[in-house]
Amino acid sequence: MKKILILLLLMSVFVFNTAFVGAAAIPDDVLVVADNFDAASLDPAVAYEFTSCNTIQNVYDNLFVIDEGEVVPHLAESYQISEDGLKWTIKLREDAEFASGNPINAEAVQFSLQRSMEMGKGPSWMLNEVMSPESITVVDEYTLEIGLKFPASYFASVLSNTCAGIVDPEVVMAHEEDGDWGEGWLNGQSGEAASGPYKLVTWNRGDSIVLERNENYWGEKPNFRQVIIKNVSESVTQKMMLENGDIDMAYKLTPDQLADLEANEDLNVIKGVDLRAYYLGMNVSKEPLNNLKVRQAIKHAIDYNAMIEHLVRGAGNKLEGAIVKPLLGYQEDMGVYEYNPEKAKQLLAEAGYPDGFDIELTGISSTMWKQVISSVQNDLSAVGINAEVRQLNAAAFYELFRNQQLELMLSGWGSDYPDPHNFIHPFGHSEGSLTQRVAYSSKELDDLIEEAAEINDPEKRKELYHKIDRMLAEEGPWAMLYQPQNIVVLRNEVKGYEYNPVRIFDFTSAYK
Amino acid sequence: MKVFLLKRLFYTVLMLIGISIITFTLSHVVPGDPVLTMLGGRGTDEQIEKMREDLGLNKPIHEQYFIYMKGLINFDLGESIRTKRDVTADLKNFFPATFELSTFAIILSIILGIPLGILSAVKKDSWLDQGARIFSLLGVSMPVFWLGLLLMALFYNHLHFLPSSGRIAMFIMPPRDITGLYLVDSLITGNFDAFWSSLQHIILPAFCLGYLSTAQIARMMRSSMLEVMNQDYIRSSYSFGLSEKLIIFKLAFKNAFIPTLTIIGLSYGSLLSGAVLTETIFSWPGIGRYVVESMLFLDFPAVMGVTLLIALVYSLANLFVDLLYGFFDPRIKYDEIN
Repeated sequence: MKKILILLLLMSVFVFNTAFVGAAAIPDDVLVVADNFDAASLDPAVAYEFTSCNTIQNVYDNLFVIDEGEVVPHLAESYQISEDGLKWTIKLREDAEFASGNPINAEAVQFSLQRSMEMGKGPSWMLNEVMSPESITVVDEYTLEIGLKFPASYFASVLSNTCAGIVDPEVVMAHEEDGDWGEGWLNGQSGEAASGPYKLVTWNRGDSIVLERNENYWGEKPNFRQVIIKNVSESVTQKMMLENGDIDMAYKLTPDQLADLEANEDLNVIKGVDLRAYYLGMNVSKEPLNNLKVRQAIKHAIDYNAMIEHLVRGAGNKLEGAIVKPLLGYQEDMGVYEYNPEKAKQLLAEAGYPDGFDIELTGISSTMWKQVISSVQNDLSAVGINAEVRQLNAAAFYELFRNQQLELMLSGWGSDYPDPHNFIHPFGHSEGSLTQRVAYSSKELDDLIEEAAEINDPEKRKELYHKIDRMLAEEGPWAMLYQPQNIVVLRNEVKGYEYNPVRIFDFTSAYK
Repeated sequence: MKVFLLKRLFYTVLMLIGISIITFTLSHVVPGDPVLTMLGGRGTDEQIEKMREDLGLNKPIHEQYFIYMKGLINFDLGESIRTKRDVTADLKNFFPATFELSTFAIILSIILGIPLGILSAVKKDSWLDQGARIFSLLGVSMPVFWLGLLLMALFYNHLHFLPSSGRIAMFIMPPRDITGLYLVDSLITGNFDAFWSSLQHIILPAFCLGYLSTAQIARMMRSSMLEVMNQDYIRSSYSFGLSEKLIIFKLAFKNAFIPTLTIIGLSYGSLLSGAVLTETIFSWPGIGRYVVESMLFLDFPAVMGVTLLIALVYSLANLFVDLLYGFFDPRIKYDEIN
């Protein structure tokens, strides 16, 4: 027995002493980022959640990209919009090549866009909404013409989404199986099909994704030879790894960790806007939410600032309209509604509910939403509205939501492409992804929203969005709770990183 | 023996069919739709219809079940809705990690739990016994989540003894894939750097995962050992003047071990299916995290695949334990008890 014990002790000493084989510091030309989910798919036509999209933005280049809030041509060199706004003629750069060495030409762009649309997966709706696969024609080697279904002025912004990322047709189709458009292959080891600054070299599912610099990339070469996206599911673990220098960056840390992180001198904490809005929705097909005064009362009943201060420790911005910062048309302090329980009670009395009423409040079951829900429930009960709370899994929530079966609901909307239309349409248009779930419709708003989507002059467009957003705040079915912030934390060794809310994993300017 | 084995295997197949029906039905009557989970509030009705059709969700449930079972006979578990890969490929990817972790954990539990239980029983009411009992009590009452974070804070963050997460250090290449078990593969290929690194990475999660079983094994071993030690044949052996070592290890242990063996068999199954939390804390790329993420997406092909696989391994492990009974107690005859 003793012998065994001694042997065990000796073994453990040995293991501990040789601790951290290979746990040497991360080399200067490698960047390690922690993420708490594994990607679902790395095929640009399929990817439709953060981890996947953030990752493949580095792998597949777009005709347009977002730089400092502006949509700018990227693979496109120049573009022209016809008088009626229905035809876009896009001229490509002639020096761009895929990692395979094949040229990135008009045919490749046509193929990539058609591929996304034909496959019809998650993100495809945003392309199909504005054009059809047949409407893309190749004019010459480096020129394309795209016909639109209506003169969508935000088309360039849609083209910056990952589902409009350009893949190498020759390489992809060489790996096609049973008419899958090469999805099986792209969703894994797609190194040679890359058009962006990095190519995918390994995907150890559930563990890490390794990207390597694409030497054929036409643009500015990134400083890091390798970027490793490490799947670390627990934010507590992420924080410890960051403090110990085992990762360089984490971007899904939680607000309760903020104080500790900010106090650490080795770390650089960036709180950047997230293009997302959290909202309380009111189904106007349900009594008494069809009453405008009741909706206004609810908007006045919620203590928005307390929510931002206590739930996310300040990592959020107040919202009233649907357009988030820094998109065109965003207004700080719109002044339409704010926390004022007295006014809420008065409005309820005017609406004929001096003693309040009973109602159902539904949200998705997660720790974060649980906090938001109880906070809203408290605020409502303070003005006499007795909300019965339900928390459902996402699948059940969305089913009821789509069938207009929820009364009050809490959820969030994140941008697909960074344009006000992507917020105003879902929140305001009667056919919008959210508005139709709460049975709200206003002909006036519909017309204005359609008009704004077709304006090319930013100033005029901005003015119109101000007007629409104000109308929505005054009469609409939403109490906008807040716009969350992303907490990105980097070790001090990493310099030059520029936060871009739609390209969080853009490391081209960063170095060590 | 042969009859026994055949019978057991036949029952296993029946059980798997039963489980497949239950899991399939459950995962289809859960409210919600995987397509809507994927899209949230977005997408047009036509797009949703098309995606449902692609996944075969618009067929009646019994038809879907028969399609699934037809595939299963050919070892085709269908395609995962979330990862868009064959479930078989996903399982091949994630299962070895969980298998390695659970197996390492159960071995660790046996190595720690049995001596602890025997010592406890032999030196009943001594400080050693009290210490072992406190250790066991903590094991059965401490939440895995908390224990994991505590271990990590201590051994990784403060002492810098052990790494925090993953299966192997970031800049060490995993060994060539033979069995999928890093410890085994690295030994076979003689890659000792990878072996040490994997060993260091597995210690914390395995201990964390196996602590509960260690405690259960130790408690069971202690109580059955105490019971056996009070029996007449042990007293007689003492009176014959046999050495204590011989009595404890040869005469008492073999008889007292049977109930513990049952616990080990059961624990192993629960380790396999219960690795979810441990895998989350230590970012272990195993089947536990895979199945949780799949459940959130209502990805039933994946959930089915994992459930069937775990059920299979669980019943095989228990079959193995049943066979071991005979080794420890030759009085047990297999063909008769059936």
